[in-house]
Amino acid sequence: MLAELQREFARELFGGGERLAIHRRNVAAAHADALAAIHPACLSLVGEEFFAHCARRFAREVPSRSPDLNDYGAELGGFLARFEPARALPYLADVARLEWLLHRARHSLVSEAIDAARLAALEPERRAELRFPLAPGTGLLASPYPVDRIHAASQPGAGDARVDLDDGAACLVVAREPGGAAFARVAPAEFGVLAGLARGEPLAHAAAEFPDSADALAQLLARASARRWLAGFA
Amino acid sequence: MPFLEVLAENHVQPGDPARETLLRLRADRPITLHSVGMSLGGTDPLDRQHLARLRALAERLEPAAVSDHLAWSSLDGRQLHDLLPVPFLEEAVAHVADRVARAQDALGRRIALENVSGYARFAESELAEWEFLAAVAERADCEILLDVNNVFVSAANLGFAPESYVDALPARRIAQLHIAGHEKHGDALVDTHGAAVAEPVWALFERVLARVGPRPTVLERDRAIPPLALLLDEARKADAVLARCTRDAG
Repeated sequence: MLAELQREFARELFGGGERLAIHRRNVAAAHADALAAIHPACLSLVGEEFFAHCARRFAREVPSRSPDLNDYGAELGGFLARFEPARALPYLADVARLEWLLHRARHSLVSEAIDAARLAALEPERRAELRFPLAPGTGLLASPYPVDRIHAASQPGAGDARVDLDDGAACLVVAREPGGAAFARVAPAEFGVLAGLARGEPLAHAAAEFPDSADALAQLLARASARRWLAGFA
Repeated sequence: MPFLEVLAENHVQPGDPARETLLRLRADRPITLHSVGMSLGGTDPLDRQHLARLRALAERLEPAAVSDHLAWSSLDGRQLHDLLPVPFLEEAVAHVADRVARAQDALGRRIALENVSGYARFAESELAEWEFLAAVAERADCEILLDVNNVFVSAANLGFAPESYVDALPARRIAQLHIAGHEKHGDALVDTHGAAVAEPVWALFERVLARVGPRPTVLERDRAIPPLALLLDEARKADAVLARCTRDAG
């Protein structure tokens, strides 16, 4: 009986009847406020009214599944990519993806640096077989747009910064670094290695198409370790 | 300020950015944890992962008390992020009490159950809200966080005397109080936490204290925050009421 009554309530809530207007506003505002808090650059790119419209449509399509609103919004980038009214801003989806990854990084713990001495002591063949999972707060984003510059230009105080969309693609690593959540550009070949590691591939496999020297690969691992992009190796 | 109330769901992520700040604040004064996400009045299974995160937070902060609402907020796995009304059915007392008891077990702590603002009521309700709340608290052996403003708002919207609500609750179970401001939107009073505490809510607050004695009280204000001096005036007013009832009780 209780479940039945609550289902009936929910039908009325989403059905638009006047009686539950206060609850309907509360539900909509909770979702929209959470999305706005996580995606301030998107909000500043499109303005409050348009963002509120996106948020309403998104919330209708993608329900929240966690009592913690910090878990809500992972799919906003994908939603914006196919959201007809946002077509004029083809980079908007990637800005949303970047902001989501930054949000996740902000709420993750800093990983330990990997044990460089133990790694160096291993035979090269053994090292090639190792897997280096990414740290929980680390995310990868490859965009055809200079999304890092767009993000920077959308920050409060950035003034009237101009970004040339033809500046080209950006390969970004977003992570919980020791100084806080941050993102960094990497070369496309480096991005390929990290993407392979993220998929759980052994180092040799992830780096199979890495064109640079073994030294360059070691440098990439050292950088990844120092910036705490990796969870360790096994 | 004798204690701080922390909204639990804002701080349950493993890498909560405010983690260190909370620990520092906790070193100076007690903290109470206030949750809005357990959906204790709901029918979805209790969210074990969320309860585990809340427990981890409680273990970090060692709160003086943990609270959530007599409400539901999820249905068929969908989280609505609002405190929705429970139909006050006889059969629902055992259901809600059982969920509160299991949540208390999962947290390893007692919960204080808070009354929410009511904007609609189920025609099917068989009990008055205060009867329902008292029965759940008794059966689950939990405490009550009495939100005096919510009683006032519900009474105005749903048509009952707020005094009958606050007078009927078992005094020994009332562990904490909330006071706040509300606003009139159309025909309804809305619990916005965006205005000063209204006069009749102060009167109701005094009435509660006269009966149950002093209780830790939070003055809630989330919107249209006035200059600090005005907020402090309100807090001092609450302190004065609390002091008066302590003196009268002594």
